[in-house]
Amino acid sequence: MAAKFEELESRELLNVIIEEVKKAAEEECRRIIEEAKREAAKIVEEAKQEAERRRRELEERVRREARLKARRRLALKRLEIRRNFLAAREGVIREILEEARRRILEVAEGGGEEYRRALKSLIKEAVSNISSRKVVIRCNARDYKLITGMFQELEEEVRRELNREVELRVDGSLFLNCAGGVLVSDEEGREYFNNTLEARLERAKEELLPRLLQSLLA
Amino acid sequence: MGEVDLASLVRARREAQRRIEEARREAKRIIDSARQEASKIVESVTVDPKAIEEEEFAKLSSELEAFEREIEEELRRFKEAVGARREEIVRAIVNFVLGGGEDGCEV
Repeated sequence: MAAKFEELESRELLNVIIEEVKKAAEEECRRIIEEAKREAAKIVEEAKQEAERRRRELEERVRREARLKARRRLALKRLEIRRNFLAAREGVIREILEEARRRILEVAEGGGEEYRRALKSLIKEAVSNISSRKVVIRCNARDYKLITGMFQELEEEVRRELNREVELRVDGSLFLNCAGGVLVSDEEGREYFNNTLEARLERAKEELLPRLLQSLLA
Repeated sequence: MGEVDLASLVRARREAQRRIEEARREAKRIIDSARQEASKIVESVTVDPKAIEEEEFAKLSSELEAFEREIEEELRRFKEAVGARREEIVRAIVNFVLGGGEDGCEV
């Protein structure tokens, strides 16, 4: 009776052990699979991050090239816009200069008192820029008559205003092909000052007009 | 405890070992599959160069249009300013050329 009882107890104990073995194995299996799943998720997540990094890198490279290509395609258009703007502005300036030139020619061709005063002023300015005592004045045929007609008073005014000894000579042997004004030089032609109307108009364009426009637009 | 009972314990242990081995193989399969998927993800990275080119071109075109509008506005202001003081500018040039200095120009 006692032996039977012992055998029964041993069998139950063995069953418990077997169940424990099974349970431990199941637990281990679950742990292995869960760990593998975690590892797999990590691998995929890292791959996604790497893919995103590569995509950004690739896109940046392609974008840089695309930008360069687009810039090249649009560079001409940009230049054309700039050129058209400058041409339009130049057109406005040209009209103003043309208007000024027309009025200047009217005054010069009229040969009246206003132009006589202008001629004197141009001669004085030119002579003041020549250091030589003997000064030659060259001009066109029309102005030659005007200058010789007022030569004496002109020479006196020049001496008085420049406060130095000056000998003026008006060269009538070769007339300038210009709208008016004078070209003044020393006898040898080493020093000269161009005060023809054309030269002054050019100076107005180069020196005066930019200053006027700048202050106008400031 | 008889021999038969010990044998069932041994069987249970073998079965447990077998299941664990199987779980390890399954784990390896899961990880290998993840690696394959990862490889595909990384290799599948592409961008659409055509779309990017169009996008960049559109962006720069729009900048250029803004530049053109700016230039047109600058020209309009220039013409307006010059137009308003045209007579004074012309007179200043005439005075300058005829040796009268810049008098008469108040710009």
